[in-house]
Amino acid sequence: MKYTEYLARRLIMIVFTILGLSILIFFIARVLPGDPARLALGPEASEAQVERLRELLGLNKPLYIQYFDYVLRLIQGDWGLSLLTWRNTLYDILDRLPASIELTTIALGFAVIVGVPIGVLAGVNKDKKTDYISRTFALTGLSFPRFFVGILLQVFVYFCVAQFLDWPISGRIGTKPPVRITGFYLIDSLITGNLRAFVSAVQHIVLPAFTLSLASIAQIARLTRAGIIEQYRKDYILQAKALGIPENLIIYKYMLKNAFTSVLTIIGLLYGFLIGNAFMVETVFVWPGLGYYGVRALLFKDLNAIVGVVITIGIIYAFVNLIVDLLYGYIDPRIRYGEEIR
Amino acid sequence: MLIEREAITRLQAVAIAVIIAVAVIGGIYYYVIMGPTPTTEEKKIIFTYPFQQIVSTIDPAKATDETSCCAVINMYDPLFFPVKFENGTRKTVPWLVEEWFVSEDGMTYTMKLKEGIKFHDGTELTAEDVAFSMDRMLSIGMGFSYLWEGVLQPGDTEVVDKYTFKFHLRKPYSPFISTLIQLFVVNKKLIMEHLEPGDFGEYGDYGQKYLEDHDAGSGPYKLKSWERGVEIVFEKFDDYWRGWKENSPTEVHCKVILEEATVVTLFKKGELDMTHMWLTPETFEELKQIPGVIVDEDLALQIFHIPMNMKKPPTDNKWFRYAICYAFDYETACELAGGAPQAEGPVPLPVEGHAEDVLVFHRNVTLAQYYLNKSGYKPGEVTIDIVYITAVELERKICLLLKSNLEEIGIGVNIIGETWGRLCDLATSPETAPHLSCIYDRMKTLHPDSHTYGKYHSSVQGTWRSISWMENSTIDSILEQARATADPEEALELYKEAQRLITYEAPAIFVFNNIHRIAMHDWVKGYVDPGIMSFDLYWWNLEIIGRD
Repeated sequence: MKYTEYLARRLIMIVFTILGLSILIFFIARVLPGDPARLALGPEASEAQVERLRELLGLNKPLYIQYFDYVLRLIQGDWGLSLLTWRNTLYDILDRLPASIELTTIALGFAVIVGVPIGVLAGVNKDKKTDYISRTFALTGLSFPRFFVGILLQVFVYFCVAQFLDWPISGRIGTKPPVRITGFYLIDSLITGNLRAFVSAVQHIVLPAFTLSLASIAQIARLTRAGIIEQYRKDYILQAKALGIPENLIIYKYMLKNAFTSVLTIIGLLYGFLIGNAFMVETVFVWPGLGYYGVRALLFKDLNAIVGVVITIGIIYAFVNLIVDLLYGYIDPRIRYGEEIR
Repeated sequence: MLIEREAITRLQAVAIAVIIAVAVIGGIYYYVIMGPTPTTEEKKIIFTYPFQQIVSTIDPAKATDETSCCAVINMYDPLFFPVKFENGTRKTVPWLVEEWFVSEDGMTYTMKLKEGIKFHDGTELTAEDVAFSMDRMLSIGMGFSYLWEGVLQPGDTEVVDKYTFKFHLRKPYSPFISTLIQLFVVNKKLIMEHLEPGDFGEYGDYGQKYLEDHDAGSGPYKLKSWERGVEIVFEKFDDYWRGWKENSPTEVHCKVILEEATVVTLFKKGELDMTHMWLTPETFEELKQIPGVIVDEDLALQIFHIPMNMKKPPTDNKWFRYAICYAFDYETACELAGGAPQAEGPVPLPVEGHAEDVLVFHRNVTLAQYYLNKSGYKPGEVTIDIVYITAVELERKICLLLKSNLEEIGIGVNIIGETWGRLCDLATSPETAPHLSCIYDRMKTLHPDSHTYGKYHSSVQGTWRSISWMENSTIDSILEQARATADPEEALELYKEAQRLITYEAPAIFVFNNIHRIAMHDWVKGYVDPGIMSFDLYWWNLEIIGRD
């Protein structure tokens, strides 16, 4: 199969996947308990007012008609009225999405930078002291609830670090945000040459990204360890050693590359997972991301926001995993789609 | 075969060294060369406050939650305003209105505006703006428009001259003046210049799209910036009609901080000038111990009560309800609420029109057993359900207390935790409404009508506010009479009579009158709480004195 053909097929599949997801979440959202119109207008609103809002939202129509109306508007960029903010849900999501992507990317990047070496160390020193210490460290990160770690870090910074260094414990930036180009403060501040905003954005992202990365470090470390152990047994490693190639080169250039495919898979899955499940970290650190917005939408039965958030996360999952699949081809030439093995 | 003996090339090593060097130099530059915040910002008096939830809207026709109402109260002016006097009494006083009078039949309210009040764009506020604002509110049909449901329709506000207008009511409505604290006047000219296509004929969308991100008010503060979900910043309107004090905040930064621990930590650090009121009583006790921190405590216009479903056995039996009311340990419940006083009937204690001679229950196990026996139910015969909101830990504790009290006299209790949305759903019919529910209810106006007619008249059944499902023709009649009475004093007497009759029916366990607490650093002066949601967050009242 040619590469482009494969890409085209995957893109079409993504469309159908998102369509299926939208049907599922659309109907699930509408059977959740609670009258969304009543919740939105407040308990004192009269029945006439509630009925008017139901009419405006189309809630009195049959479900399948509501769905078709929704899809037609979705394609035109109208993702429905949010009952919490009273504006197009798409704008709410676009406001929050860059914050979530930025946080998740930094957190995952940190998890890879820390988790992979831990996994390598553990794998290379299997059943030795280093292996046990590395695994204990990684599992500790997995065991602590994220919100608990977040609050602990805030208290630690306030009581210990704050005496020497003014370090922020909440929010996304401590100065005027940079001019919005991409919505990512780290990138926008560099593009606009706003060093103050860049440094402030870095300071603000450190704690939440570290908190969010802890569980991912453990997962990445475990998979890396398993991959390294598997590669270590292979003949080409024995040959490399016999040829006198330095140990570090063997591990990091040859073994790690071959062991990385399973790690890549988990990174892809973690990315989508973290974007939607970071709401505890977002709550503690007052990070204006999609996670908390989604939870609030659920609690207040903000129908369009619920569907919008799920579709957004679904799209992210699908595209991230497409990228992961394409990267497989880069890492392992044997599975490069559409090319003959020479 | 060429064998590479280096893990990284020389070029890669140089690149890594350069990146590290740039990062270190950049950091030094930031801290040493660039220094602290530029001096122009130091001349501002910035007040920082935490919002416990996001601001959903800043449109005065749509705001109903605390944070949205806070934004509106500071950017707009209402016709009347709730005020708390030195002696603790609370009254609704004229605000934009200079003088007003009501016709003998109570159907026409004539009002004259103060002259020279400016909107933020410099336009003068006139009677046209008032009429437009009321019509806009009623047409959009959200926010607090329910206060005038059946009382006013669009077009019922007549402009007499530049500063005089009349409200022609569809029926007499004695709480009318108190409701006008929720009518915020918008700039008609500005909105008409920014109309989008909509459902309101010549008025298009009534400026809803424009007011998503802009303000059109005359209030003490203007909208400076709004990063949704993060922070909303207000800046002082220099030409505000009430003038300014020397140390008034020039900017107010309201940061959305959802987690209590974060609020407390930032407050202790001095990054917040004040906390919000939603911290636990234990946290306020802890904050009281900190030098330089003041915890303002006062009776709130909010009661906590446990309504009983009067259409579902066994709580449809009056004597059974009496048994429950006598069995409950009010003292312990009030202690759990941080020393709040016991509620006396449905209307909060500080409200003008609160009846002091209502039937107030106190724990008496003997009487509880007597009434249980009188009800015809035997001990051990029945089990009832009580629903609490899972996010509110205090409610769960009170449910456990009630369970132990009722089991003492032989009534079984199932405690069920639900979300707010689910409770609203359950409340819509007497069959699904639980036997007992835990409800906090706060006044939206300084008038007993809110907690009498608004909860116990048979026409309002079907919401969580009326989850008792009371249906009493005598009470209905008195409440209707009270609403229709033009004389305010006479009306209040009727409301008091209604309260006496309501408590006699025991529709709820009226547990405690909540205490409003808020903590602030001692450099914050002028804070006052009139009791209506968000009106204590009227920043114009504040001064910052003595902060470094």
